[in-house]
Amino acid sequence: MRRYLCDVCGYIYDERLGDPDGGIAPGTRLEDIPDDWVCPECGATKAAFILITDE
Amino acid sequence: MKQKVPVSDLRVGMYVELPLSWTEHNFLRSKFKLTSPDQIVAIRSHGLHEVTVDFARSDVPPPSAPQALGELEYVSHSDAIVDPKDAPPPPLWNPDTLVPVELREAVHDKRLAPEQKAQAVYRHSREMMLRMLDAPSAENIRASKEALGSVTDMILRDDQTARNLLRITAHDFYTYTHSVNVGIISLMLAKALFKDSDGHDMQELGAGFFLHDLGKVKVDAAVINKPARLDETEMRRMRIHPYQGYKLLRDADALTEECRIIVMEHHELMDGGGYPKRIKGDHIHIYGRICCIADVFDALTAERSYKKAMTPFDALTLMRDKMPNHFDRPLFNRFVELFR
Repeated sequence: MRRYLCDVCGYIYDERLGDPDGGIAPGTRLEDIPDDWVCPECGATKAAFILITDE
Repeated sequence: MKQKVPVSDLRVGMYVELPLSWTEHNFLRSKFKLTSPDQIVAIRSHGLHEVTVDFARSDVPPPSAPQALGELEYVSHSDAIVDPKDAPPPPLWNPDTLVPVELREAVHDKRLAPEQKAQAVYRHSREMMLRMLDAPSAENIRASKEALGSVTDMILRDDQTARNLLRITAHDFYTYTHSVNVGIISLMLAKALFKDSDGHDMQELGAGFFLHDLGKVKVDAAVINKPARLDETEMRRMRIHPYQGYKLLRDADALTEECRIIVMEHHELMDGGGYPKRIKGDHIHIYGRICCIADVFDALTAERSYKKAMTPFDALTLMRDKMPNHFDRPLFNRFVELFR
C-alpha cells in the first residue's frame, strides 16, 4: 500500500484509507482512481500526486 | 430630547447629530442612528469629543436621565449600558441583518454625489463582506450575492461612481477589503471587455468576483493572518482556498457554474504555473483570467507588514516586465488602459 502527497496543498492520499467522501473505497490504488477525481482539499488533479512511501 | 454625549459614551442605537457640515464627514447623512461600532470609531476619527444625541429617536435610554435612577433595576440586562469588554458577543449574522441598510440606501440614492456615493458603497460593501466571511452559511452567501448584484448594477451603470470606487480602494491586509477591491477592479475590466456584448450575466459575474476568496474561511486563521511571507508549508495550506470556495458556493447553490469557476481558477496562470489544477492558456476560463489580473494587482498595491504598497504604475510595470507569462496579454493591455 502506498501513500502519495498532493504537490499543491500537501494532502496525503493513503491507499489504505482511500477517500470515502470522494467515492473512493479504502484500498483503492491511485492508478485505479477515475481521472476526474480531484484532491479533496485543493481540487488538484491526480497528476499532482507524488509517491512518498511504498510499503 | 437632545443631549450632548461624549464620544466615548456613544452606543449602537443612539441617534446622533454630527456638528459637521455634510462635506466634512464621510457619512451619508449628518443625522443618523448608529448601527455598528465601526461608525463610532469613524466619528472618533473625525476628532470629535462630543456629539448631540436625540434620545427621542434612539433605541437606548439617556445615560443619566433622572427618572432612570429609581427604575434602573427594572431595566432588562440587554438594555443596560455595558463596558465593551463585557458586552455580549457580536450578533450571529443572518440574511436579515447581513446586508447593511446603508448599503442599499447608498446604492439607490440618486442625489448623492459620485464621490460620496462611492465612499458609502465601498465602506458598507466591506462591512457586509466582513460579516459574511464571519458567518459563511449557505443562506448568508446567497443574501450577500443578491446585494452584490445591486452593487454590480451600479458599477455598470454609473461610470462616475465606478471610477471613484476604483480610486478609493483601501489597502489593509484583511480578506474582506481585498475581496471588495478585487470585485471592483475585476468588474471594471469585465465592463471594458464585455460592454458591447450581451452574452455575459454581469450580476453573476460581479458576485463571483467579490466572492473569489470565500474559501479562505477554510484556511487556518494563523496562516491567513500571519504578518510575514508564508513559508512553503503555509503556502500549501493557503492553496486549498480556490477549491474550498468553489465547494462552498456549489453547496450553497449560489452562482452559475461558470461564475463559480472564477473562484476555482483565479490563481491559475497562463503558463501553467498556477494552482490548483495547473491548467494553461485558454483552458483557464476568461472570467478566471480577469480575476487573476485584478487579484495580483491588488496584492501588489496593498501594504503588508513585510512590504510597502506599490503605486498602481509600479505594480503594472512589474506585472508587465516580471510576470510576462502569467497573464492573458490582450486582457492585461485592456487592464492597463483602465488606469490611464
